[in-house]
Amino acid sequence: MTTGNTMGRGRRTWLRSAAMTTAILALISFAGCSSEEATGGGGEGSLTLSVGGGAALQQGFPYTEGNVEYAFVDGWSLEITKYIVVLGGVTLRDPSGGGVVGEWAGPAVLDLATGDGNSQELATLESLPATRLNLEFDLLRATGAATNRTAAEQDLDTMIQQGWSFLVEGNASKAGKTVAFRFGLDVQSHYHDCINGKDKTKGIAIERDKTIGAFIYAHALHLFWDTLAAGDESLRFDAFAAVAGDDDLVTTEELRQQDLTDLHDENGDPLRDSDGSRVLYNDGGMLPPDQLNLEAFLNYAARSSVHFNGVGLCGSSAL
Amino acid sequence: MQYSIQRRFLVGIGGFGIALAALTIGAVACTEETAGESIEFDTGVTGASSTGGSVTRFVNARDWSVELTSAKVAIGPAYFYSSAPQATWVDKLLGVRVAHACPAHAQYDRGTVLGEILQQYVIDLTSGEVTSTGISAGEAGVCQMFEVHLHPPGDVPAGSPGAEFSDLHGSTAWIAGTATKDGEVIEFEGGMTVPDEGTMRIVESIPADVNLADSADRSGRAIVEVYLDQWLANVDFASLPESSNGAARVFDPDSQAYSAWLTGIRSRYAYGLSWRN
Repeated sequence: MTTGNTMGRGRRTWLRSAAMTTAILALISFAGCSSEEATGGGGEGSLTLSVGGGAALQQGFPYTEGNVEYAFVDGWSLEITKYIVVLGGVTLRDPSGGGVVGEWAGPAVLDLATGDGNSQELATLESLPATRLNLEFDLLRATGAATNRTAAEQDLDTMIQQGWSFLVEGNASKAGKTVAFRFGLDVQSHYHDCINGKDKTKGIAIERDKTIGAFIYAHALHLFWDTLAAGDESLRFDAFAAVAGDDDLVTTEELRQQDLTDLHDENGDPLRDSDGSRVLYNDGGMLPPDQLNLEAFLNYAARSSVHFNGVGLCGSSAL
Repeated sequence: MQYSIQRRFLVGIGGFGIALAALTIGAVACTEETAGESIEFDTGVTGASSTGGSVTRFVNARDWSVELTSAKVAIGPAYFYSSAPQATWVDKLLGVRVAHACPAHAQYDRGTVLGEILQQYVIDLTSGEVTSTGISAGEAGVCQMFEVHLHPPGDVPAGSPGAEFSDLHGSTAWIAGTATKDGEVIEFEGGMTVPDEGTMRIVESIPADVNLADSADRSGRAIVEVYLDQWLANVDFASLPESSNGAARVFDPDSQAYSAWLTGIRSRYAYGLSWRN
C-alpha cells in the first residue's frame, strides 16, 4: 500500500517533471525558430492574382515613372503592341511544411498589351488558410491546352507552332525611320520562393474573410536593357534595328544573327555609341560561349523579367 | 528506499530523455542557423583547359589554332559561397540552378562565405604550376558557387611581390602567342583591363561543387582554374589591326578580338574550382 502510494506519487511526479521540462524546452526551441513559423490565426481568405507588363506597355518609350525617365540611349522611341505570355502552375504553399494549400493550374494566354496595357486578372484562389503563404508559378510554352484569354488566335497558333512562351511585337522609330519587331522566346520557367515586392517579405499574407490582390509583373523594360548584370544598365535598340533586313522587321531568327562579341550596324560595320566607342552588351558572364547572340541574351533577360508584387524577385529554374 | 532512489533515477532519466528529444526536434528545426565548423585551408590559382586538353594550345570556336607563349593575370579577391549559382541554360541539364539576378532591382543571395582569397595575386597561367594564394579562414561546407575579381594591378592589396605585377604592363591580364587559320599565321600580344562599370570586374556565380575542409584534416587545397581556351573562345584574330614592321598584332579595344576576349575573361565558363594537391 505504502509502496503503491509512493509509486503513484512518483509516477505523477515523473510525468509532471517530464511534461514541464518538455514544455519549457519546446518553448525555447520553437521560440528560436519563430521566424520560420506561419503566423496564421485561423479562418480562410482568397487571393486574386493579376498580371501586367508595366508602364512600358501602357505608354511606350520614353516614359516617366516617378522621377525617372526611361528612354533609349541610342535615340529610339518605341511602342509595344503585343506582349503575350503563357502563365500557369500557380501554387500556394504553407511555408512551415511546404504543403500545397491552393492551386490554379491554368495555363492561360494573355496579351498584356491589349486595351490600355493595364493588368489583367489571372486567377482567384479561394478557401485559402488565413496565414502567410509562399507563391510559385510557371511561365509555360504555349500549347493547345492553354486557355486563350486576350491574345489573337493567329498569334497563339504561331506560339504553339514555335514553342514560345513569350511573343513580343511593336514598332520603333528614330530620325524618321521606323522598324517593326516581332519575336518569340522559349523561356519555360518555374518561379518559386517569391519575395513580395510591396513589403520585401517572402510570400503573401492571406487575410481572414477577405480577398487579397497580388500581381505578377512581367516587366517589359528588361527586354531592352544592355546588361544581364546589376548596375549601369541602358536601354538600347540599335542592335535590334541593325538586323531588321530589307523588310524592316526584326525577327527571332535575325536576333540570333547579332553576335554579341561583334555587334554590327545595318551596314555590317561595328555598332558604335554616340562617343564612337563600340557598343558592348554585358551578359554578366552568364551566356555559354556558343550562345553569345542577341536571342540568347533576350531569353535570359525575359526569364529574369518576371517579378511578384512590383519588383519582388523570385527564384527561377528552367522547365 | 531502494524504490525511491530508482524512481528518482527513472524520473531523472525519463525527463532527460524527453528533454533531449525536445531539444533534438528544436535543433532539427533550426539547422539553417547552425554555424559551420571553422576551418583553414590553402588556396591556389592555375591555368587550365576546360576540355582537359593542353592549356596553351587549342582550337577556338572561330577555327583559329592558338598557341599561347605567355598568359598572366592579376586575380583577387575571390570568394567561395555556399549558395547555388544563378540559372543559365545548363540548368536544363543539371536542374539545380537558381536565378535571382535582376538589373537595377536587386542581387541574389550568395549564401555563406565559406572561404576567400583576400588579396590580388599575379598568376602565370602557362607555367603549369599552381600559384599559392594564401590560407583562407572559413567554414566547412560545400562550395556551390564562387566569384573572382579582376581589378587592375594596385586597385586592391597585393599578395604577390610588387615586381611580378610589371609583367602585366599595367593591365589586369596580358597574353602573347600565335594564331593560325587557313595558312595565315598571326602573332599577337596585348593586355586587358575590364571596364569599371557596374559589376563588370567581378565574375559572379561560377558553378562549383567542392567540399571545403580544413587542410589539417584533408590533403590538398582549393584551386581556382582559369580556362584559357574559354578566355579566347570567340576571338577572331584576323580582326586585330595589322602591325607595322612585322611586330606582333596588338589587342586593340576597337577590334572584335578585344570584345570577344573581354566577354571571355568575364565568362563564368572560363573558371572552375577543384580540390587537389
